[in-house]
Amino acid sequence: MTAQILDGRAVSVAILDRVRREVDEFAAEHGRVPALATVLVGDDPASRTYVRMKANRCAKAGIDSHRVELDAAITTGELVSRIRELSADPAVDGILLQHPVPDHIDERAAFEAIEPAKDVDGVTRASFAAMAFDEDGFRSATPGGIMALLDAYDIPLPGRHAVVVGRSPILGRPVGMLLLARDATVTYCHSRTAGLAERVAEADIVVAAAGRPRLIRGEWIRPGAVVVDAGYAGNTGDVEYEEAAERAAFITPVPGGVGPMTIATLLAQTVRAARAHQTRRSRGAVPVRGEAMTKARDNYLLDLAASRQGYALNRLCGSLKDEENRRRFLEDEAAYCDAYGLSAEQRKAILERDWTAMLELGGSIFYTFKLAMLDKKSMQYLGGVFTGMSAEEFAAAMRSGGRKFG
Amino acid sequence: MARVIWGLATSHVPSIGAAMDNGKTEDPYWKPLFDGYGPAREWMAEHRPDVAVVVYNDHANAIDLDLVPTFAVGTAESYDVADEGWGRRPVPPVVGAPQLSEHLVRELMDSSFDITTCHRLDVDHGLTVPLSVYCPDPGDAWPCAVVPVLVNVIQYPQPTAARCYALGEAIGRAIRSFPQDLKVAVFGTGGMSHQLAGARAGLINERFDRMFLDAIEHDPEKLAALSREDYIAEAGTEGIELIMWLVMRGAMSGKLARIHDTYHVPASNTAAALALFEDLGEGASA
Ligand SMILES: [Fe+2]
Repeated sequence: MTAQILDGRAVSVAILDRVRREVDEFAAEHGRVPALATVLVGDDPASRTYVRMKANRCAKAGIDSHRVELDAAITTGELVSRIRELSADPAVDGILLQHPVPDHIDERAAFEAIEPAKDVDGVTRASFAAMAFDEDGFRSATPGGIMALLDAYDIPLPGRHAVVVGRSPILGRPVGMLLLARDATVTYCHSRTAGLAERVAEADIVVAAAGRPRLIRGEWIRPGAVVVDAGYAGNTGDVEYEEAAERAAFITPVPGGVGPMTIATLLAQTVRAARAHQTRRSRGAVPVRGEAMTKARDNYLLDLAASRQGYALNRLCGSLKDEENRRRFLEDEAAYCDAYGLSAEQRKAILERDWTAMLELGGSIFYTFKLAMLDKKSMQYLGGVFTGMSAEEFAAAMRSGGRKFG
Repeated sequence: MARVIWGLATSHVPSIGAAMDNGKTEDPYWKPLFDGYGPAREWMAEHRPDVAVVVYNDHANAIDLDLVPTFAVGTAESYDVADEGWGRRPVPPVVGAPQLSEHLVRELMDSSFDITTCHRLDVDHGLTVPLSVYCPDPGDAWPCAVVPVLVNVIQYPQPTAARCYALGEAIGRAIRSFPQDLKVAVFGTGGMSHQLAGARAGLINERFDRMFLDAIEHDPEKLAALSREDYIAEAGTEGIELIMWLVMRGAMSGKLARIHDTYHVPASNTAAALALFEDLGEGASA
């Protein structure tokens, strides 16, 4: 018998088509596309290639990818603070830190700098915990991709014996848990396992995730088993492919099996993150940076026409000087807006924290600043929004004597 | 009779107050500014007024866009410190000088300034920050009573600089005609160049500010002749607050002496300055 191929490439194309449609819908609804920040430390050629592949796939799916390339000599502290900035950046929906990072860096610390809501590669403790408890969250991308591939071929999981070879925190361990959550009976094997051949031979499903080329011999595979090879050393898998394919019912090729599914999962999760991010924004939890939004004119004069136009908006913002109003606003921003009779545009500008649009719609900075303060945003932050800078860049421009005109 | 003993021009940037409230005046960011205040504060501590007439603008706190008085005078016995949206400044409430307020309102009306009166007024950073610049550690009470004088500088068209200067002259005459033996200080607040919103946010125009700092003493008519559009173009949409310095300057009598000044960039998004003038009185020789 010759195994049927679990064709990750073909399945990923179908997933990416769906992602592309979701991106289009998202863009139509929100006027922007999802954005993934990819962080590459150093110039390991393989890592560079992976990042480039991910960026290419993003482009095909219509996702904005924002590449951050950092010197190999960067310290853990510097990397952590750079990732924290991305975590705080309202223009970023998802963050991928390409691993492995250079040896001197504390990889776990760097991963943990990723805001869990943006952890589309599923590498944080928070994501791991959510997965372990079978709760909503982002799956580690490769395990998530493996599950999607098994599902695409309707491989039954309940009650079946899955043997996972490998126990890394972003591959072996999580894939075992995901299988467990789907009612498989899971055995973990690793470098210290005695009798690996026997264990593998008991498996209905083998997931090879050890990162050791050809560790798993084809003759170990039980006839009719499903073989998933997540080996990632160059183009050689962890499984002796030809021999295993003779015995297995299904098998993933390397390349073209698990790899493309990893990227597809990453992108699908990025769209999910963007949707959730947008929901948080419209609830006001995450103010939006200006450059992606309305562009500012040089000056805004609160003349009488603007005062008329902006009356409801300014009245709403002005009401936030009262503590009880601040509480009520935070409780339900949309309802609060409705009570103040804002125009649809004003309402949108408030809910999405489009600070420049507020001015365009008659807002006065002295009023809108009260809303900014409620969001714990400084006048330097707003200055940055109006001028296309970060708050830090704007504050630095002020420290160096302010911005000169004419 | 009451007399004006000094005039203080000072920025009223909220973060200057916050730096004092949060004990940050020795931080590298703030130290140069507060060091610059030093000599003026020492001199003012030795020349305590009974009443401060503080010319300032409200920032969407006591006055909203329902009613926008161009010039207003507080007439209350006391003024609460405003919650501007992030909690009240931890400074004492402001005690009014209602008799002087009434006198000012009547005299100003008779001088053809049709003044709005404020019987209830929560005073915001525009008034309390200048008081803190004068007196950093007031303890339980400010060392003087206060008459707030409000100028609309937020909604366009603002009063002209010339009208502000004339208002100051009328306030000076009114103070000097008040039949109590009071020492009065006049505060002109706001500025210097700054713009908070729009693509020109962060604007600082040191050349204009330096010119203004000099001319406020020697050539106030030149500053009074500038249009509101000039102020906005040169000093920024919020830099037009400088017209309130002209109210202070107008209230000074003919002879004055510059005690101290200081200029510093930035106080958050603003060029911050202080200029202190002793009023030498009509008959004095400068
Ligand atoms: Fe002001």
